[in-house]
This record gives sequence, C-alpha cells and structure tokens, in this order.
Amino acid sequence: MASRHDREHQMSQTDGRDNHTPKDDNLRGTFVSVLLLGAFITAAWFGVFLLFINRG
Amino acid sequence: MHIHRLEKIWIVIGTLMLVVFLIAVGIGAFVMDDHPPGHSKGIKLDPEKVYETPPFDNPRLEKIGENEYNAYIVAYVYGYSPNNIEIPVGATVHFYVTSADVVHGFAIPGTNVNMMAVPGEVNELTYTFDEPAEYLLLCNEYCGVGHEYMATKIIVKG
Amino acid sequence: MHGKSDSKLALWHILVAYVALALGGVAGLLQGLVRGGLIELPYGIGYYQLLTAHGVLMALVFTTFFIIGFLYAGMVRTTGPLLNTVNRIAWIGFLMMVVGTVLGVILVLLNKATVLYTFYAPMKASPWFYIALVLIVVGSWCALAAIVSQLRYWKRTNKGKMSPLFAFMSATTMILWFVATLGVAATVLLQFIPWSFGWVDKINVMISRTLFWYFGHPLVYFWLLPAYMCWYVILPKIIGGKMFSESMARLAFVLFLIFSVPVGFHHQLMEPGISPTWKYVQVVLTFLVVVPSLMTAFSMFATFELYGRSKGAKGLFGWLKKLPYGDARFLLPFVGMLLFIPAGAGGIINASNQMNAVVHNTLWVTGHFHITVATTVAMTFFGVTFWLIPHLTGRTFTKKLNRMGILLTIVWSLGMVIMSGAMHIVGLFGAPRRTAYTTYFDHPTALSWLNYETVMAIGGVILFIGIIILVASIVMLLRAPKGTEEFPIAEVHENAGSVPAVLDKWGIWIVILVVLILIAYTVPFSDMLGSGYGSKPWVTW
Repeated sequence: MASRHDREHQMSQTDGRDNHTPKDDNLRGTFVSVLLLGAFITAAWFGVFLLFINRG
Repeated sequence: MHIHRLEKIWIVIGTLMLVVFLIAVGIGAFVMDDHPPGHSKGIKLDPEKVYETPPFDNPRLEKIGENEYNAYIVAYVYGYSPNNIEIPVGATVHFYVTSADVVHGFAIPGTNVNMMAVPGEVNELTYTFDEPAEYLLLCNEYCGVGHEYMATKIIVKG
Repeated sequence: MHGKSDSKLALWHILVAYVALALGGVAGLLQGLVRGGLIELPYGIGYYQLLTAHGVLMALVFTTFFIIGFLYAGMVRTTGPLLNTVNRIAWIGFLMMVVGTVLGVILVLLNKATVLYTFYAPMKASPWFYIALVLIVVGSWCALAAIVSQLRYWKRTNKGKMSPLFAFMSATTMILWFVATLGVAATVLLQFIPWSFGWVDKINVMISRTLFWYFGHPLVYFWLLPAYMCWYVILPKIIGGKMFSESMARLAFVLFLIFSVPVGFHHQLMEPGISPTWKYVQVVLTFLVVVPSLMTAFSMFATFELYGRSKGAKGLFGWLKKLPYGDARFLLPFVGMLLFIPAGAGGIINASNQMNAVVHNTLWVTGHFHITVATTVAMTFFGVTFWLIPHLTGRTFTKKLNRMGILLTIVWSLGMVIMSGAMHIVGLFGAPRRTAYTTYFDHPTALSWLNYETVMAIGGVILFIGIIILVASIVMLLRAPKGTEEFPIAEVHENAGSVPAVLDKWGIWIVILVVLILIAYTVPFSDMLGSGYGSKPWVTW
C-alpha cells in the first residue's frame, strides 16, 4: 500500500511540482519567457558592444 | 519569505548576465585603458580666460610623434577652433576639448568620439582614424539658436 | 466611499495631466514635422522653445500630476477617505504645482526659458522659470506629506495590520521622489536662483549638472513605479486572477528605493570632472537597479500563467490565449509591458560605461525615453484612466469607451514603434538629439539620416492621431452614463506565502539608501566642491 509520502512524491513528479517546496506552482511558461527576455537583452547588448569595439 | 524555485534560478541567471556585462566593460575600461572620456588629471581653467590659458591660447593640431597628434580644441557658440582639421590616415589623435561659453557636445558620427565640452573643464579622449574620409564633427548638446549649425570637419587623408 | 473633495482632488490632477499631454503633443507634432524636413515653423516659433515646452509638459507636468492623482485615488480606495488635514495639504500642493506650471509655460512661450527641461548651466533662463520649478517641486512635497500622513493614520487605527499594498507602494514612491528632488531643489535654490537674479556672479557647472542628474535618474523610477503599481496591484484583478507574490512585489519596491538614486553618473559618463573609477562604481549600482525589474518581469508572467492555468490552459504558453485582450483596461498596460522589453534592454546598453559613447546625445536616447516613459508608462496610465475617471465621477466604462481604448492601444503603439524604432537606428548612425532640422551644409553623413527623420515624422503624426483619440476618450469618459466603476485591487494568490515585517517599513531602507548615496557621491562631489571656476550667465537664444 503506497504511503501518503509516496503518493505526494508521485504527484510532484507528474505535475511539475518541486520536491523541496511542495507549494510551487507550474511556472515553466514564465521561466521560458524570462529566459527569452534575457536572451533578447544579451543579444541587443552584444550588438552594440560589437559596434563599439568595431568603431574603436 | 517564500521565493519560487524558478524565480530564484531566474534572478541568478539575470544577475550573472549583468555581471558578464560589467566585467566586459570593466576590463575594457581598467585593463585595456578604454575608459569613458574625462580628464583624469582634473585640470580646471577659468572659462572667462580660456583664450589666455595654455594650450587653448593657441588652439591647434600639434604633431607629437610618427603619426600621433594632440588636438587642443575650443568649442564655442557655434563652432570649433581650430576647424577643418586635417590628419593623415592611421593617425592617433589625443583630443583635449573645452568650451568658451556653454556646454557643447563633441561628436564624430560613425566613431566612438563622443564627449562633452564643459566650460572650466578639459575633456580628453584618444582616437585612431583608420579609415580615410571627411568626418563630420558636430555639437550634440543643445547650446542655443545656432545649435543645428555647429559643426566642422575632420579630414582624414588616405 | 469617496468624499466628493477627495474624488475631485484626484480627478483634477488627472485632467491637468491630460491638458499638459495635449499641449505637449502639439509641440511634439510640430517638432517631428520640422525635423522630418516637412514643414517650417510659423509665426517665428522657435524649435527649441517647442522642445523645452514638450519636455517640461510631458516629462514633468503630465507625469507628476497623473501620478499624484492616481496615488491619491488609490490611497482613498485602500485606506479610506482622506483626513481633513491630508485633504487640505493635498489641495495646497495641487495649487502650487498648477501655479508653477502656468508660470513656467508662460516663460517658455515668451522665449525667456529656452533651456530645455534639463536647463543646463551656464545657459540662464529668467529667474521666474526657476521659481516656477520650485513651486512644482515643493507642491509635490505636499503630496508626499499627504500620503505619508494618511498612511500613518491608517496604521495607527489598524494596529498590527500590514499596510495595504497600494498604500505601501505609494509611500515608497513618494519617499523616493522626495530624496531625489532634494538634488534638483538644492541646485535650483542654492545655485540657479541667486545666479539668475544676479546676486551671485558665477555658477559651478559640474556641481549643477551632478545635482540635476542625482535627481534625473530616480525621476524615471518615479514614473515607472506607479506603472508597476498598476501591473502588480490592479491588473491581476482586471484579468480575474490573483497577485503572484506580495512579498516579491514589496521587495522589488524597496530595492528600487535603495538603488534608484546613487546612480546619476550614468547620465554623465561622457563628461569631464568625474574620474573613471567613480563613473564605474555608479554603473555597477545602476546594474543593481535592473534586478527588481527582472523580478517584476517574472511576477507579471507568473500572474498571467497562474491565471491561465487556473482556466485550464495547457502547454508552455497556452495561458497567453486566456488573457482578456479585448479589455482596454488590460490591453493598454499589457502592450506597455511588452514594449518594455526593448525599452529596458536599451537602458542597460545606455548605462554600460564606455559603451555609452555609441549612443550619448544621439537620437537613440530620444528613442529610448519615448519607448519607456512615453510608451510603457504612458500606455499603463491611459489604461488606468479608462476606469479611474468613471470611478471618480460616478460613471461607467462603457463598451464604446472600451473600443476607443483598443483603438488607442493600436494607434499609440504603432506610432511609437515606428518613431522610436527609427530614432534608435538613426541614433546608432550618430544623428544628434535636441537638434532642429539641418543637413550640416549638405554633409553626406547628415543627408544619410534624412529618410529616418521622415519616418520619425510619420510616427509622430500617428501619435498625434493617438492624442486626438485620447482627448476624445477623456471627453467621453467625463460624459459617460452614470453608475459605479470599481477601482480594481487584486487579492494575493494562496501559495504566495507570508510577508516579512521588514517589507512594511521604511526606516532601514532609507538608512541603506543614504549610505549608498554617501558611498557613491561623497568623494567625487567633494572633489567638485573643492575646485573649479564658475561660469557667468549665457543667454544663447
């Protein structure tokens, strides 16, 4: 018979909940969105950086 | 205080990104000596006496080496002295710029030459002109009704 | 429930803000057409006069009046009717700001203050222009006193309870504003006014610039924080969801409080008189103030995702489809948020020490602040206006008004993307900002900019159409059918967790702020105090 602990563990594996903070919701879309934001900032920054180096 | 695991990761990633930028410009500035313009020697001069204070008592381009020059330039409403400066291609120029009146800009589009000419202060930057062209040197800080006419040329002969 | 005077107070601030925006918009249209080489100015109007009017009306008057009105309305909504003394201080502040604004605008129109909204020394305007600025700033300090007093009273009568989030954020914003305006007040009162009256011969230019930019950077956070308040506290309610985390929202705000001020040098990176070391120190501090915005991005996406998933959305981005794009109260701030992506990226570039040489004083900077304050912040404020005016006047936000709001979203964002986009590009090619139409005697470099400047003009015309839609909307809002319109305040998500007490206090954060200011400014500023020659006045217009 599966213990309550095992059942919670199973739940956390199937719906993306974090083991350490069982209250964390599924925010994978958020995470990817902010990573895209970071990528945009990085790309823009390096674009101007390269322009600066090139002109220097 | 509860912080979502993914938010913690994001904050770390975001901060790392910013640190990378800071290291890049930090190395550029303090290791490669490519710091923002600004005379580190802190020379001050009386703006009312600018034309009596060396080297601006004789604004000029001065050859100091093989292909190396000092340019002592006064910005004023609405021009630069000297103007139409001619240099050979590959020349390294140390610009020393001040203003005889209000704050002006000192900018050469297409290059990294871009700094403020402030009365009472001497601003400085060094640039090597690798491409021949007739560069536009213009004022990009509003200085009065003639601001949009304040410009001259840096003629790099190749 | 609002006392009638409280509602009027907030409403009049907002209406003055929009009068300023409309006038500033006329100036902006003319500027764009001139710079695009399409018209010449009639009746001897000066380009730089228009530019001064545009900057002052948009960046100082529209923003300050709207923000204070919005904050008052939210204070009433969350802490109850304003105390009599609070209400009175607030009206006094309003009158002072109006008198200052009118005085300032008259002087600009008379060509006695053609110094642009940054009024850099040693250009000298009429002393009454600086007095006008003092009236506006001191008037705004009355708003600080009002909001802080009101919150204090609420805390005394609600012992042991955490401040309502909107009230906490309002107080934080006004405290930041006060600390920031000390700089501009110091330079105006101690330098510009005596000098422009002739009581003092010379002015130290570097000190005046440094005091101005000590104020000038937190100024933009004074604009941004109320927009963030809409995003954090109001938008979740509008979409039918909940706030993601009250703690993270409060943490973001206290981080803004401590990091927004000690960073003014990133506006002075191309200047002499400040060592490369201190410029870099303030660049590092500037990058720290990016962090609470990165946190805000996460909170916003999280709020939307939690809501979307609660409505059954699946997959990585299914929640995007669940958002109420047909509701202008959501769409206007949402588009503002999206455009904050390039806006914020540009800001990080601007602050990057020696890299600033690529963009300093070019039209890129103009593109930057149009996509930040004139898009993200302005569109958020427009989105608030569509429900706030009916809320304050006992009317309703109708379907017709909603359609106006959607139309405004499209027109405004289109105009800004076109105009600001062209500005960013032509700025990278070195085209200067704050400059009237010129080809620098037909220099090829300047000629290469003309097409972009024409595109800028087209964007400007589209924006002016936006202003017309906006003004029409406000008239319609003031005449909308009677009823009640809610002031939406979000509840917090169940999983958000508790808020630590330190995030409902200001003492510790103000101490940290002061320490950071002292670290960032003491050495370079005392260098300036101890040396340098002053400049006599110049009137170059």
